[in-house]
Amino acid sequence: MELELLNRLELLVAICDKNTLSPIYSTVKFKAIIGECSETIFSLFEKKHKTFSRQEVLAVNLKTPYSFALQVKDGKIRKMIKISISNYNESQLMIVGEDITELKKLEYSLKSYASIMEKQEKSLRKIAYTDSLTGIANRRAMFKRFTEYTQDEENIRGAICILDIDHFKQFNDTYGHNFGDYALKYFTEKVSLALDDDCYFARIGGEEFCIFSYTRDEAELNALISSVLNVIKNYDIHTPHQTITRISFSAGIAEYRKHGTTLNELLSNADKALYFSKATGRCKVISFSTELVQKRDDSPILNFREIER
Amino acid sequence: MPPMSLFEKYGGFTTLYPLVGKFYDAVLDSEIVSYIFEPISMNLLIEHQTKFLAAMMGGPGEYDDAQLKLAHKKFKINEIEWNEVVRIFIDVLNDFEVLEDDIKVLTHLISTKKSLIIAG
Repeated sequence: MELELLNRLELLVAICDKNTLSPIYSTVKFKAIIGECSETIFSLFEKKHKTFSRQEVLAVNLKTPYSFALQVKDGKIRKMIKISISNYNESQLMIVGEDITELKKLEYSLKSYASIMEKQEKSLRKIAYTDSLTGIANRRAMFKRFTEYTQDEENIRGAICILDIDHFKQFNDTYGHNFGDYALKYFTEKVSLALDDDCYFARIGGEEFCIFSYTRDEAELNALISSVLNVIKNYDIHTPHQTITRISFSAGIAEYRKHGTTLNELLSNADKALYFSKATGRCKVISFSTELVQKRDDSPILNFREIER
Repeated sequence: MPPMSLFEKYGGFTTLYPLVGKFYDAVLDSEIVSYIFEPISMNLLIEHQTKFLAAMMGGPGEYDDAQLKLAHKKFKINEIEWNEVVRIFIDVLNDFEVLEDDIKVLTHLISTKKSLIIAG
């Protein structure tokens, strides 16, 4: 009578002999969905659940049942059943099956949806921190990287450099904006290739770029950027007018801590050095110093932003 | 503000997952197309259907056309099988009381992927 009650429940229940696995009791649903409780269903468990272990099953007790999920067919419907095997008494095993199909559907669907959202978030983040024309980091990314780096108090070295392409306006005016864009991409590619992993490279304005070196001081970064300039300025670039042109840049450098602790301070001082580079003939790399500022105050020349670029 | 997508209109993921569940059962129950879906594990099938239906309803994520084509190539899906899946899709949308005009929009969206899915 009590066992008959089980036939009315959604649960699938069977009891078998622990040693011979011969059936003692099975509900109608158990028989229909999993089969007659016997050696056959243990073979089914082994076949469908690769890590199924008969030894572990024989060691179960009521407090720690042996559980796993099993995919079976109920007519044409595919079902996911959670099987729990425990001791019914000393010589008998109790097998309980619970239909977890809907739960699994939700779990898999949620997992899939979470992965879409994660991917979407990653791609939005990438867009937010990437310069769309050149594909390198943008101004926002440079500020983020600098803040992350300097938040670690152990990171006490570093220097930044502002690079500004010489006479860039002429590229646009003479050959059109498409060529201007091409020149920016070309420049980015060549500079990226000339830098090492110690450098973080970003486009921070129209034709203005910033390099943040994590470990170099201003003299070391100056040496690196000068060597980059020597390489870049010798490349031939084919113009749409079937002529050949070349690209060069002017640069200003400021050292972390020595010339400022925030990126705004460093950019401002590197900009002052860049001013000298532009004002004194371009195509050169100059490091910031207090003497440099003094020199500018003594013999004012054109404001950097007024120099034709 | 951009117009609300059908995905948002019908309740986002809260509606999407039971819709996926129904769609999953229905394709496995179909005499015509069940053989295509039968060998695919529940995990994988639900994953793909969630991504595909979310994208088709204007929700998050993009379904990569090249991937879609590659994933279906081996099944050599014909016109009859394609029509059957579209019929199932419309039935499921009707079950969820999606408005007729919106079903037309969704069916049209799905039809734009037809050339990627059926064997050409």
